Amino acid sequence: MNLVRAVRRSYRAELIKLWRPSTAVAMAMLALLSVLSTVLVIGLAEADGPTAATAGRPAGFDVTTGQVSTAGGMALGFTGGSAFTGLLIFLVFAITITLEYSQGTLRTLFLREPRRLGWLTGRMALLGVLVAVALSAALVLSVAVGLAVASIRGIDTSAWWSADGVGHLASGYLNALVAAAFFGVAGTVLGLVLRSTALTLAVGVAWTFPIEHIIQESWGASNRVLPGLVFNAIGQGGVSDARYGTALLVGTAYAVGAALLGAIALSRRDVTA
Amino acid sequence: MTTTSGRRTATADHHVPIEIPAHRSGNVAGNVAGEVPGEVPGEVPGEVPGRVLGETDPGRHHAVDVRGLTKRYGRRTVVSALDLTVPAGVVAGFVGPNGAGKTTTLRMLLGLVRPSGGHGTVLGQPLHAPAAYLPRVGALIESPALYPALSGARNLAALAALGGQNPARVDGILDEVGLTGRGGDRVRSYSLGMKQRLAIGAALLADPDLLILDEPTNGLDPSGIRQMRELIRALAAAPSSAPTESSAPAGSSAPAGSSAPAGSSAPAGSGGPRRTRTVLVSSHLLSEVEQICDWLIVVEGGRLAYQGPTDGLMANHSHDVVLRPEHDEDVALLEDLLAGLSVPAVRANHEVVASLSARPADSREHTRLLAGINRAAAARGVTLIEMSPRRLSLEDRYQNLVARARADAATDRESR
Repeated sequence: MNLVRAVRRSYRAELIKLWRPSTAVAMAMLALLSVLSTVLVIGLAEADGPTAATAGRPAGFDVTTGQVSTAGGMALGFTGGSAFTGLLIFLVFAITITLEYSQGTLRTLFLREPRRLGWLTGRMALLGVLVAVALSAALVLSVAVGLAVASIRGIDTSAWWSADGVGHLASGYLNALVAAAFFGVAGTVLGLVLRSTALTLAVGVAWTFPIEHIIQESWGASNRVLPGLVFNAIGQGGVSDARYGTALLVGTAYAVGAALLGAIALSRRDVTA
Repeated sequence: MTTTSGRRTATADHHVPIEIPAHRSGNVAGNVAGEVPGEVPGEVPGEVPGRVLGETDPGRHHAVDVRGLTKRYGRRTVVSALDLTVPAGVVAGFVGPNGAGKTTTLRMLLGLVRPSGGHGTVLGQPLHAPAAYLPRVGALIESPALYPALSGARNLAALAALGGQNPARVDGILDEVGLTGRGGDRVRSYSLGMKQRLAIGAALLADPDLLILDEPTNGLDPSGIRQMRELIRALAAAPSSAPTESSAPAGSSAPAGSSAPAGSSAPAGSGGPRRTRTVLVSSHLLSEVEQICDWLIVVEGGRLAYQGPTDGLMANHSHDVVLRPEHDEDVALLEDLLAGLSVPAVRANHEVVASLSARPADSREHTRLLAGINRAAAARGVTLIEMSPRRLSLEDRYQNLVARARADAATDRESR
């Protein structure tokens, strides 16, 4: 009961802290990244028609206009940007948690709410809600921009509004949300463990981009194993060598393991900042 | 807590008041003690080094009562078996050199740092369960830690929401710490003094029974230090009011046999129960401590060097007496005369400081010695115009305590 109360209070307190312009800017950036992804995916789609070989290809920048015109075309731009939005969310979560250490505000918070895990849960819940709202806005903008770009390119979008199309959009949104949540957990936990903004960003960005992608070039299974690539696969609804179910399972395992590590780090370690 | 005739009445619980002497006002000029000039002080009557003085009865509720508090980082011991007692209702000064373990100790009391050893209670609740007592504690640890991009009022509102306090208190708190009119400004535009006051405001959100302030005057200019001193005095004088939602945490209970929390006092006024507020201030500014604190804790090297009433430390336990002859040229003669009487003495500019073998507490022997010196001087034609106890400043006493603690620590190391 006390823990629930701590979560509730933490949620309210974080809402007061985050109710400011910079939060709106971060959310707008996330939406703009989705829009950019949509513009790139649909605007740069190859002009050949859908074939049996390409119809099942994953969303990305190697998309054809035939794929765009299918029922799942509406979600292609949105899900194609999940790597960007994931990275942004990773950065935002990592920076906000490490700033609590560097500014010393963590000790101020824990003096008011000593139930540290309750505080963290409430904070993550609010951040999750904000990400969900930002992704919703991103989805709406992405669809609007997608329609405009498709219209300019003369791509037929009538299949987008079928029940199948709406279903693709809904599943695309949920996948992006799950991937974003996992990236957020990873950023938070890395921040809790390293307690330094610079170090967290250096390690996180270096691992997620150059290192994972270098490994990906030489190891076929990396999409099913390496966390950044797995989260990305979830966001895209699965990729060629990492089926959605596998990616979701591995990603969930990573997220749960990371959450446990973060919980131990936060609750056991001294607050000396 | 009341102020009556220069004495603060601190209540450990509402049945048994403890009389805490006011700031050195009770010191009696003329007390003589026996510290040989230049020597690390010896024992002082009534004072057991590193132990609580007699005013804190064992078993009585205190705001802070911990035993054997220890913190080790690897092989380095930062706080070593500290026995700490702070009676409810006092303004306690926590002093020691840099690196003495003050901040670590306070962090352990506040649940931020996990003790390596020790047990005890804070506000009657177990030390190892800070969630039970922190809702009744307000604290400022080291520098003020606030969100610079938020306004002062938003900072307090966020912390009030987190602690379950009524956000309507924010305006009152801003007024209390002298930030009325600036609450809407971003904290990054505040001066250090304003940030300090806002941080104290944050500590007051819970209307705490125990207020812990770690170096609250750090970085402040003389004017800011004075304002902070006045603020601390005002906070100590103002009792906390009725418990809030957070001050009676679910799942926490008063110790068996005691329905009232430590620091409780009889109801006063119409605002419900009023409780005595205890203030624990860490500082290395002895002049500040001397002016505002009636209880003193001195630590050195993570060990307790002294704790007890400030008066107890300041009381003139010295064996030293200042003897001033009418004529300066008689100083040398007086020094010789004392040597002849086998009384250790040190010559100063216009006087001689004699170290008697009896303290003022041994009044008959003390009087006999003084009279003997006076007669001997008169017999040699030296007229004494002053025979007074040598007064030690808090700084003198503090330096002596620190020196002794260091010597004890060195002895311990050698014996190991």
